[in-house]
Parts: sequence; structure tokens; C-alpha cells
Amino acid sequence: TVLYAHSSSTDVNYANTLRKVVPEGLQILDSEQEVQQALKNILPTMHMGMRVYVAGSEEFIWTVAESVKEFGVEDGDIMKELTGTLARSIYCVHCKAITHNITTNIGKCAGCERMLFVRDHFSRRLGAYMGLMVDAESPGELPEIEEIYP
Amino acid sequence: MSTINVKVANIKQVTPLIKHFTFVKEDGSEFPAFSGGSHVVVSLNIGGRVHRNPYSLMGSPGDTSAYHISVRKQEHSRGGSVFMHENVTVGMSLKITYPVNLFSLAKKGRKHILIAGGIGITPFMSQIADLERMGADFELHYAFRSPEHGAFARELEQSCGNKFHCYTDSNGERLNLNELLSKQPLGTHVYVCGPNSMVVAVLEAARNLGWPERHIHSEQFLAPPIGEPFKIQLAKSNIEIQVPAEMSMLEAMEAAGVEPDFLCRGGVCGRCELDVLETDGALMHNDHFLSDAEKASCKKIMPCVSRAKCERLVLDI
Repeated sequence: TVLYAHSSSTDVNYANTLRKVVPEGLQILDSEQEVQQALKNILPTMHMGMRVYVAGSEEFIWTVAESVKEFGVEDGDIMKELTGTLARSIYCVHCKAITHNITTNIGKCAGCERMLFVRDHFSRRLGAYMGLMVDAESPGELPEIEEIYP
Repeated sequence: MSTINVKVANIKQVTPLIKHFTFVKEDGSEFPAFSGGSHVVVSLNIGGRVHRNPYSLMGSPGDTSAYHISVRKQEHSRGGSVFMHENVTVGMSLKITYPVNLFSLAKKGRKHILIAGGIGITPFMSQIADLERMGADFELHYAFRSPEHGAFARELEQSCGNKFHCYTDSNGERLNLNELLSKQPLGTHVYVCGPNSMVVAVLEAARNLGWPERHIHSEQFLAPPIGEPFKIQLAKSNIEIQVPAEMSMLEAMEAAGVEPDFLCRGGVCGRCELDVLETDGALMHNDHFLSDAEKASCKKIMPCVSRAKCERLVLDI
């Protein structure tokens, strides 16, 4: 069973290639959300012996992991491949909101608007990196903002 | 290794080949708590030599007033089980180790498939008590030779109801592993305990169907194989030991007064692993713990079951 959607982070749409290569069970969907929903629909019909391989952005990967975890599939049994973008989801330690698609070293929290420094500490449960206020000690004085997760 | 002094409180013949022993603590106090699937190692003094045999605890972990084990009489063996059947009597004192669990239930499992062959039913008896307490979804599949060899089958039928399935070989009833393991929901774990052929069959069936390793559990109590005598030298203890044909290296070291670490005594847990410093011969690995590469390197050995053909085998102990 292959679930695929073209994402805006890449130029190439692999739908036609997949149609040629995948003999059966292929679903071409229009968005990442549709893929997640198709996955949720299929999981109750799956049996032990099913293997999960997920490729995409980190946010996509960890949303899939969360869905399959509800069915008892453990993290170590999910094969993950990060492709396309290095963009990170960040978890604001102050207001607990998760902000998606951050490609820079510092990003604005979608919940409280604080400017958060994007750390490398990662939570598999949340599927997000730790973000903490970068200018707490000197409000308004920000280091240079660079795109380091394109 | 620490031991507990116990007294045999009761012995019951369960099937022609299986006896159920009830132990209580010599001092009358409660036993340590244990989890389903645990075993203890019983020390038996047979003709001046100490045999140490592991046996699964069968009783409910909720009851620590007594420990229950069942022993199958193995005719072609080194005598431990025969001794238990023919020489151990009610009131006798024995020494056992504290319980150890190398066959525990996966607490996060959604469903548990338990597969038992013959005397392999024993670890599942205590596991079932835990599963019932947890309200977990499980099935017990019990295969045995013929009706009179199905130890505890009636008791299990009463306690497990429709979760219990038995297969009597003499009636031609066979457990179809592929059928059983190909339709299980995600999050199921499979556990097997029984004769080697059954364990191998279950592991193979599960793996072929794509079950991840961490969802496959097995327990076997293999006796160390008998072989040719050989010599070993212990570097740190500075002694040379002759390992007789019917003793394992571990037992020979224990008889010589050395106290190597051990747990399962059956070549699966890895606790007794020793480094080989030097050898002039061939190592015969009988364990299921070391990787193929480790076995080939001849730098490690499991003294509880493995042997060697050599004059010199220097171990780092």
C-alpha cells in the first residue's frame, strides 16, 4: 500500500512514476492532510507484519508516527526518511504552542509571538524541536536571522 | 549468587511425566514478589555434585506465600529432573535463587498470543495471572502429545475460557502457525515456550510474516550438552580446571570454587559471557546469544553451554 501526495517543497511530482512502478494499492492524493486521513482509514484493516516506511518533511513523518502509534506500532519499527525540506516544527517552552515550517534559526511563535531560538533538542512525542525566547534578557535585540533549515 | 532457603511443602503428580512442587520459605516468611514469566534456579546436590536447574514460577504473582514449579522428568539427561522426581520429598530443604525474569510480558502490547508446548506451559501460568489482572487481550495456544500429558489443561480451560485453545498431537490436532500469526491486529506480541522445534517454528513463522523482532519473545531451558572433556585456564583466578564430559564450563568452575556470573544457564541471556584470552583449539559455541561474527572471532564464549576441543583455553576470570 502506497500513499502519496505531491508537496510544495519539491518541484517534481512523482505521481506518474509511482503509477508505473507500484503494481497495486497506490493512492495518489492531493495534500499531506489527505494522506494522513487515508492512513487513518487504512490502519484499522492492517495486521501484524505490516511495515511502515515514511518519507517526507519532519512534520509529516512525526504526524504519521503519531497515527500509527495509536495502533501499537512502536517508534523503532517505523522506517523514516527525511526528504524535501529541513523545515522544523518548534515547540514553544513558554506558551506550549507548536509552530510549523520554520526554516530559520530564529522563528516567531504562532501562539505568543515571542521570537524563539530553534534548538536541536527534539521530542519524538511532540514531533517538534525546542524553541525558547531568544531575547529574554535584552528584549528586541535579536541575533542575525539566517535560513539554515531550507 | 544469593539464595533463598526453601522447604518442599507439597508434591503433586500432574501427568505421568510432570510433578508440581510447592515451596515455602524455610523461615516461614513471604517470598519476594515476582512478575509473570520469571524463573528460579534450584540447586540440587546429587552424589556430591551440585546441579543447578532453572524452573519457571507457575503460581500467581499475587500470592507470595509459596512458589510453584513443575518439573518434567527428562530421561536422557544429566539427572537433575530425575533427582527431583525420585529423590526430593515433602519436608526436604533446598536452595533456590531469587526470581529473574527473562520472559516478561510487553506491557504496551495490545494483544498477547501465548504458544506453549508440553512443559513449556509453566511460564505462561504466571503470565496469565498478570494478563487477567491487567485486563489484557490474550490467547493461549497449548500443544501437547496426548490428553494425559496436557498438564493443567482443565485448570486453564476454567480460568481462560474461550481464550484457551489446546491441540492434542495424538488426535491429529495441529496448531497452524501461519494462520494464527497472519491475521493479528497491530500491536500484538507473540510468546513461545516449548521444545526447540516448536520455538524455531514460531520464530520462523513470525519473522517470515514480517513481525518485528521486539514483538517476538521466546524462552527455552536448554540443558548444557554433554561433550568431550577439555582443560581451561582462568587468568585472574590463576587456576587450571579440567572440564569433564558431563559438566559445563560454568559448572566445572563452580565446582572448583570460582563463582562466575550467571542467569539463565541455558545460553540465551548473555550474563555469563567471558573473554577468551588465548586458545590452542576449536571453540564449540552452543549458545543463542553471541552473533555469528562474535562466534567466529573466538574472542568470547558462553561457559554455561559452550565447550571446546583444546588443551589451552584461557578465560578472563
